[in-house]
Amino acid sequence: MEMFKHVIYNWSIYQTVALLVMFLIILAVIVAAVWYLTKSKKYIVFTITSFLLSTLFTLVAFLIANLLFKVTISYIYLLTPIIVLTVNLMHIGMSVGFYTAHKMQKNPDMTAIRKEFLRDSLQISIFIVLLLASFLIFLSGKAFTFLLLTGIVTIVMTWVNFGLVKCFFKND
Amino acid sequence: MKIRLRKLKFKNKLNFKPFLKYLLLILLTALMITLTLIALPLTEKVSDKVAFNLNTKDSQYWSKEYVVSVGTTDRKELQKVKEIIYRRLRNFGVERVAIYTETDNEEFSQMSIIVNTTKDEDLVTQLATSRHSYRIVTRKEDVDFDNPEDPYVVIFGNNYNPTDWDYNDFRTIHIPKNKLRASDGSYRYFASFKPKVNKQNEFTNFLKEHQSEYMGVEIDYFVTPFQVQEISEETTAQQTITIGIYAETEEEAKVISLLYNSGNIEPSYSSESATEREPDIISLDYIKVSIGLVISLVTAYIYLLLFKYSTRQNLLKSLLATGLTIITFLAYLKLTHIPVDTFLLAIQFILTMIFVRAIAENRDSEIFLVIGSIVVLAIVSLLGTSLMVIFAQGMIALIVLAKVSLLFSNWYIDNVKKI
Repeated sequence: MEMFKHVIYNWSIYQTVALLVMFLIILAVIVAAVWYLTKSKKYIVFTITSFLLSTLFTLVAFLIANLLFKVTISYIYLLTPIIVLTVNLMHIGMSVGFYTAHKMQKNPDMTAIRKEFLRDSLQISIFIVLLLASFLIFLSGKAFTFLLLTGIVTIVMTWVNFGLVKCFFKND
Repeated sequence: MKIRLRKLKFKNKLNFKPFLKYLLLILLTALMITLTLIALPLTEKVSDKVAFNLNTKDSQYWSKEYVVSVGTTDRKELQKVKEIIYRRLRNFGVERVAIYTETDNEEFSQMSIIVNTTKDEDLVTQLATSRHSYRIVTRKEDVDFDNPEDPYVVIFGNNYNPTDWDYNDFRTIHIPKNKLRASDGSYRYFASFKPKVNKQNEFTNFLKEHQSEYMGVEIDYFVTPFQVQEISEETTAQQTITIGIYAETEEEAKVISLLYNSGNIEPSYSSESATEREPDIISLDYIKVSIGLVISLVTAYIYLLLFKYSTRQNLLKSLLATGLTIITFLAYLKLTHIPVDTFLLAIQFILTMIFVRAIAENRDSEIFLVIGSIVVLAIVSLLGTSLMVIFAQGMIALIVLAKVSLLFSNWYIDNVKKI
């Protein structure tokens, strides 16, 4: 909770408002782009839910790291939401193309979309795990903790997205 | 005697296209090898003729804590002062700023400004500790400004009378990026005071009343004198004040512009102390980072190949594209000596590896991923704070490079296979 107190008392309003506006504009742009390409309400709801959950999980991860593991959430952790957002965008973007290619079918096969999403989720998770595992060996201290936390949140969000796809994209 | 030349006819037409293509492939391969050698760590020690060290910011960081006294205990006013200081430092590019306030007594508060940055120390100190409150002043009649024994009489505020014109009446102080020619033939930076729209006429009338007079702009007690130009009665053009500023470089001019335009500190504001601190940065060994990145990339691709997550062709193209993106970016940084944060660079490279893999595997989402990522990162670079801005700008360059590298890899591998 010290983390939130620090933000409330020591951040300038300009800083807080600029960051909030930044995230809102990014969400609006991504939702607009997804709507333009897919014209699917389900996809819009899925995208918004995914981004809101990524924000929530990032904050929860910070709280758990701070309270349970006594990790100081310092300035470098401002990058975590940006990295999680970028990877989330890539993950959703990978499925948008597939969906767009198949949406013109009379009865789009949601099973195929779910399978494609599973394949993408597996690839991204394995790629991130291998990249970070090999790289973390050479790090220590703050850098190690930051990358480990960010990596975990990113992988969790990848599978949360897969869970959301299973909920939102069912065959009628 | 007529000399007739026989036309030379070839049985088969010579086709130069494949030959030129082979030549181009050889040249491009040589270029890639050169870029790889430049990008690798420690190769800069090989040559004395060309310097291509990676210029890391790690040794350039410094940190200071400025303690200032603010003449108010009102929370809203303190917050406003905090906004102004933060905006000045952020717009100057200071990487990390932390501002804490504490109420000292009934009249004064203490503000602690902690900076971690690679920017010029004197300029950052000026931004953090200057009040920079300005107003237009006129000369006192009983003061001898031509006294040769007191050459500093023109710069002290107590030799001037205040007017009604101050920072509340000007919408912007414009300082052009380039130096302009002064009356003495030298080049210097100038500041142009543009009044608010609703005060424009009033200001023009004020200047007409004082035309050809010597006046001044008082900033924190010290005055920059200027002479009001002659204004004809018939003129309808809106008038401004232009004064020369004490800035030699573009950075110094930028600092003065920020001091004028980031807002005005109303309560009293004075520096109490400035304490050196140990810079709080994460620095990585460049060699270890390079080894780590290579091992992580190779491991990931071997895994993908062994477990057949993609075709060999696809993996080869994305591996070449990733490698090309990273070595080109590193070579560019090394040759241009652009200072970089090694830690941020490592994270950017990891994200680039993931990005290249994503666009190589999902060709139907490529445009969405490239344009979407660039737009999102552009928004972050405009509205983000400190490290986010540096990170986002680097990522945009890497994404563009990644796209070009992927196109090149496809072409290169397809043509090498045909040899």
